[in-house]
Amino acid sequence: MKVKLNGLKISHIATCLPKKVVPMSVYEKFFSAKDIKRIMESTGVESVHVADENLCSSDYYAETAKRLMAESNFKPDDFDGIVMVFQTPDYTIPTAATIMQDRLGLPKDTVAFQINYGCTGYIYGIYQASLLISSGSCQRVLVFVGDTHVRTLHEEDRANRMILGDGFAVTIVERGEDEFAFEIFSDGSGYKQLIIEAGGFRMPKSEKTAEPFIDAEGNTHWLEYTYMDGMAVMNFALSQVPPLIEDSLKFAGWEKDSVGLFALHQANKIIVDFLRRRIKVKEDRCPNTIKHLGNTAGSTIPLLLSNCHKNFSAENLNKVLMCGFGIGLSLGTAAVNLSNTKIYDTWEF
Amino acid sequence: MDNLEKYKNAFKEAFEIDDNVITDELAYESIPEWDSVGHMRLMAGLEDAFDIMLETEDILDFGTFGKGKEILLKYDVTI
Repeated sequence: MKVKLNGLKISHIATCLPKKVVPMSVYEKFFSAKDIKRIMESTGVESVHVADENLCSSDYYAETAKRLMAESNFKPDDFDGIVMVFQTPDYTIPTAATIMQDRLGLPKDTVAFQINYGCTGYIYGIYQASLLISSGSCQRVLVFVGDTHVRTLHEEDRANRMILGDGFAVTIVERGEDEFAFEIFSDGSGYKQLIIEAGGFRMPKSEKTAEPFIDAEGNTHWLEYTYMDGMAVMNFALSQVPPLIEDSLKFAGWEKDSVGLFALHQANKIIVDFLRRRIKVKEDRCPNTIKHLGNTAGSTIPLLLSNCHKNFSAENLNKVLMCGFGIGLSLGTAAVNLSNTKIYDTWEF
Repeated sequence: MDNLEKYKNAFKEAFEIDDNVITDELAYESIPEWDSVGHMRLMAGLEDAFDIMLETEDILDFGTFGKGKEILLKYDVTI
């Protein structure tokens, strides 16, 4: 799918991190110091933020949205749309989006969606909000992304524990003068490569799913926790992302040299570096900000923007190509203008 | 430094292993260090060492120390 949507503006981007910081050195009780050093050097992750165990993603969303409204002088009545793209909702049912409408005091004629995506979530969120606005359904939409992912990882899952962190973002998309170009692809044949297999209706939790098992390669799996086939997901990213970016530039009508910022999903440092080399862009226009954040799934792109927006002039942010890829498997790009966007430094709650 | 030495060094640096572990049979996931993260570190090291850019299918096929030598021939690197 590729489409250009008009009459849009991303007016504000706010991000937040939990106060609790976990350095990778805490995993010395599970892994050797040599392993930790080697993995840290490869992933680029030295520490991550981890959500308070008593709080849900929606709690961080609500605090961020309230502060954003206060800082931007918006009132709840100024919004008529909610798009929440995440994988750690308060309940299986109902949707967290209507609860958020009530919690923030938004009008009752608000359209409220909850969409299940992780690392491609920011692209889906901006796309869905843009559809609501360009169709005339909404005037101003709050887009929520980010997860309390760390608690979905088994404590002995080295591969994921040393990469994933928690982080959240709230973005305001509203009527404006900009045109955004989107490209989105899905490849469900790889759905098992990144999955929590037990706990849904296909495989309810049971005594059996609570037990770890060893696969044919000798790796331990925990069906009730996030499983990732790191090599398969990396192959997906390396083979699919570079051609998608090249095609997205053509579709948007942008020369590569004219793009001020390539904001790639921050899977880990080595993947971002590999992708950057393959799209032939230098690090100053394709940064990685994973060192003290980790891979925060759907919120890596807005967190990157919060972290490095001061390094870019308004002219640089006139053409920003965002790219998300991962769970589903899925990938997508959004070619947007952020030159008039108020991007806040990251808040902590 | 000849190409074999550069090639071995890429493995030693990526996995932090000694020379005596390196044989043609050394394979992906045959040692804990050669996991998915270690694999990408090795690929990055080889690209730097030989100033090449590996095709995605070659990164996928690069399953053993011996197989890697065959793959590098495609990039005019003779080990």
